[in-house]
Amino acid sequence: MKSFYRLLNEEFNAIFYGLLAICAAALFVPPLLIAYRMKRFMSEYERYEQIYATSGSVLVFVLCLAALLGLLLYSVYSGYWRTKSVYTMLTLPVSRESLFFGKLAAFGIGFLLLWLAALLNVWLGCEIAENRMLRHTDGSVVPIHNGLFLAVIRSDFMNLLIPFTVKGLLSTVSMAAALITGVYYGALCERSRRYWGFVPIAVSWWLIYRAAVYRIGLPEPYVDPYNLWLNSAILLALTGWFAAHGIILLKKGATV
Amino acid sequence: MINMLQRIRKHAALPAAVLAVAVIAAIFVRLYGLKDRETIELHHLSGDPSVLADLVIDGAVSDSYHRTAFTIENGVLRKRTELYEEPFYVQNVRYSPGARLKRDDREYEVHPSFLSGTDFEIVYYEYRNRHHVGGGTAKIDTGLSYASSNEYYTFTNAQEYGLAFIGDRIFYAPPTTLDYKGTSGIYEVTKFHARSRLSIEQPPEQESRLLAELDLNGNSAERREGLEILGLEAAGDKLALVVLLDGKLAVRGYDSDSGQMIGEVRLDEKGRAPAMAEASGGSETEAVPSEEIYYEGYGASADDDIGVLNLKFRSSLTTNEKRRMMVVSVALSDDGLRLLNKAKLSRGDEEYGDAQYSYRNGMLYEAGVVFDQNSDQYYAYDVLKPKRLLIRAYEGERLVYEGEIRSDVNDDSVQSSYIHDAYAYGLTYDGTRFRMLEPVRFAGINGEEEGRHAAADRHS
Repeated sequence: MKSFYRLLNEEFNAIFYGLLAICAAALFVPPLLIAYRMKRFMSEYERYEQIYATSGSVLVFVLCLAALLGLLLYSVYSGYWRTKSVYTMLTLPVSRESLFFGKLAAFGIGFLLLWLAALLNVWLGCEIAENRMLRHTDGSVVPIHNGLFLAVIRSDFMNLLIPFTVKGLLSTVSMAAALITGVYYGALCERSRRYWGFVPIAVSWWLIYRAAVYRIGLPEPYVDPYNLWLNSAILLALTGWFAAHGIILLKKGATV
Repeated sequence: MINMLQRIRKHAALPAAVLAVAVIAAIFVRLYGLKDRETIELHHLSGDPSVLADLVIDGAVSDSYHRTAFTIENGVLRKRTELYEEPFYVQNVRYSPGARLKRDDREYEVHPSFLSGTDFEIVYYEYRNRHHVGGGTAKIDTGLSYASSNEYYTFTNAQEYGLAFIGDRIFYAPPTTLDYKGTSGIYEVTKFHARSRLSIEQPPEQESRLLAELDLNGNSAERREGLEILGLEAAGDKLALVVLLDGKLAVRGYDSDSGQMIGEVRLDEKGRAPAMAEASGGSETEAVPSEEIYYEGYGASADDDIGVLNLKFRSSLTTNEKRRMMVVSVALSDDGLRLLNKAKLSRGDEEYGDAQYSYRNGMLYEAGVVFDQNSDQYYAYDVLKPKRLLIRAYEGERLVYEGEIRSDVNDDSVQSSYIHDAYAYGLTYDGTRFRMLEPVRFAGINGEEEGRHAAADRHS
């Protein structure tokens, strides 16, 4: 346990500054974009969720998530390329499970921090938008009462980010878990030249895509029924497979 | 300093995890808690609020994502917001002639049958979680014959006015004019079959039964004599046929099991004949006649717990400044029909949809949505005009109480009030992002309690 704790902190330290930069971007860029977006003609009369979506803030989150996954890949591959530290790591008297979960947990925490930053920017952005609405119209237009809550439940993106139902929360968590574990597993597969491992990863990406498209599309008049529970369950099962087989690959060396 | 920072970083992972989870959870809880901040308040505008005693008023404000239901019991308002597990597409829940009639998970349409204009087919479409899951057709064979030389069939009202529901049972009486002779009736649908409406195949078995026969042989369109059927309604376990007898409004009561006529109430008020409707092009603002007549498109609200049917008829003397109407309340029981109240009301409000009525404790209660008169803003869509939900009580024809249930519904249309060229701006009214006021229901305190327990039992 102690070795796992040390490894976790080691991994977390290694990505500390990268993570800091990503989270800072996720936290501070959207409010700036929203403030800029509020200069647009008639924006005082728009709903916050519309302002948020059209300000580019969603894109910022997507880029930050991509950067986090990039950081994960970099962290895996840097062990092989420059310092060859992976060979040192593999000779350490710690279990391979600890090695695997140390890195995974570090990136799990990284995702949580990114999520937190996104939640805070939704909140911050709302304050900014409503403040501008009142100021630009000298108080003649009062923002929608309880607008933040309405924006959160009505916005497609915020629905993915802040689901208030068990079903939605499970879906969001399983999507994130499958994404992060899948990318790590993909790197291990590539290192071990087990390219068939990309097949379950592709399946997980397809499921993530389906869940996201379904949830963004709602409410639609003629939407095909889609079982989100099943989607989440399969994604979690795939996450379990990624972890289990990833550990096996590490035990075999995950080296060429 | 640097040493300390390094020491902190050495143990940063777990605190960061705990902190992130804790703050995320706190934000979730805080944002979720905002759901109870939606405004729904009862404001007394005029009159004595004590008229709300012994009364339960149920209503809700909802969109595709959530629903805030409220209950006013003895004048005290309670509210509760529920988030849907998945957002779903909603349409307007108010019936308008020409549209399908919604009831629970089903939507009903009635057409003249494919082969004969004097037989009818009731079609239903069933939705579960807003997904179309099935439907069926039931054929009603009547003994009607069309006696007019018109090239088209005439009806008093949209066919769906002829539908009435008691529990799971479905009844139908075709809303025919004086142009029909022969025998019609009140029919009960016994079975639905899944088949195409546009086919000549006959149903495999009888799909309806005749409950009560209506003799239309005395009909004469020229002399305006006979029986015109405006629609069928239900109150409690009784059926009420809303008719014009020789051109005058009347309500006939029927037992829904035996089909026995239990009574009749004649109102001595003239109803509009289809020929008059045609002359004014179906419009109700042109060609105002000098005498007061009532339009055939009535509104009905039933107090099922006490077996009272409230019917609202709009008057021909309505102008844009003064809207006139008549609300009659009829009690239906095994002992017969009794006219409880007939109130001719007038007011300046422009109504949105039909108001709901209830007659209790010698008082006529009205819950109606009206467009805000003070607003001179332009709105891209009429339905987005600022609305107010008003509760009114009348003693006889005198307004004794007026209250308003204030909510945030109008907040949703702020944008549309400032954007005049909605089309160019791409602003659409999709009915999902705009909260709407659901029709209000009245109930007595005791009856409602019983009803609620029954409903709770059924759900569990």
